[in-house]
Amino acid sequence: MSINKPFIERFRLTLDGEDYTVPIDRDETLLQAALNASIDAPHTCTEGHCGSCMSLLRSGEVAMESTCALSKRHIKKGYVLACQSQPSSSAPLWLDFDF
Amino acid sequence: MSIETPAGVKYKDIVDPEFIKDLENITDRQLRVHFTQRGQFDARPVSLISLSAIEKLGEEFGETIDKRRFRANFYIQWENQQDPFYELSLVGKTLTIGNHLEVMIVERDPRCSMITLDPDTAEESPKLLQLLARKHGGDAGVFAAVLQRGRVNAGDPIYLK
Repeated sequence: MSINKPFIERFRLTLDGEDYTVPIDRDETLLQAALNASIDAPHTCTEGHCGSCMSLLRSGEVAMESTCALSKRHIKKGYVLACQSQPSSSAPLWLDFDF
Repeated sequence: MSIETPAGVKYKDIVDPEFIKDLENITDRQLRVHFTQRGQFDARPVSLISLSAIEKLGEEFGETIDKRRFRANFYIQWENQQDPFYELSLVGKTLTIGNHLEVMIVERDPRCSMITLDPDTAEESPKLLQLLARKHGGDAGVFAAVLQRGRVNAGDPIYLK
C-alpha cells in the first residue's frame, strides 16, 4: 500500500494528561516523530502487531501500512497504530494516548 | 506449503488471497502475511511467568491483574528472590522442573494486546500494555524450549541447573 505524503508539519499529541505539539518530517510515522521529540510514547515492536502504540485519532487523517493489531471495531472507533501511521491529509491531527 | 482448513477448504499457498480472505472472515480482522525476525506470539513451545512479576505489574498498574491474561504454561513462585521479574534474567539458563523436565529459557516474552483483555469479560485495558511497553520494554515472562521431556505436576520444585 502506498502512503500519501504528509501535508502537515506538526501535530497535537496527548499523553499522561499533557498536550504536546510534535514536529513531523515527511516519511516519518507519528511514533517516530513523537520519539524524536523525546516523548515517551508507548511502543514495542514498531511493526504493527503488538498494539502497544494503539492510540485514538481524535482529528485528522492517517494512512497505516499495517493494521494487524487492530480489530475492525477499533478502526471504526478511530483507533490507530502510531508506529504505522503517517498523515494523509492537511487536516489538523490530534493523537491521544490517554483515550 | 499447502493448507486445509477445519472446514475442508484447501489452499496451495499461505499467501493465497482467498486463504487470507477466509481468515479475515473468521477473525473479523484485516490480515496480511508478514515475515518478522521477532519471536512470534504462539510459536514457542513453553512459556513461563512468575506470580511475583504479575503482582508487581498489578501494583504498577494500580489493580490486581488476573494471571490468566498472560496465558503461560507455567506460573512460578520464586523463593528468596528480591527481583520480582527474576525470570527475565534467566535467558540462556536451563531449568529442571519436577524430576525429569528440562527447559532452556530462550528469550523474553514480548507481549501483545492479548494481555489487555479481561479473561472473563473481554473488557479491554489498553493502559496495561502501555505500562508494560514504557516500563518493561514490552516483555513479561519468558519462552523456553524443552531439552528433556518429563511429566510435571502443580507444585513441583524448579531448579536452576
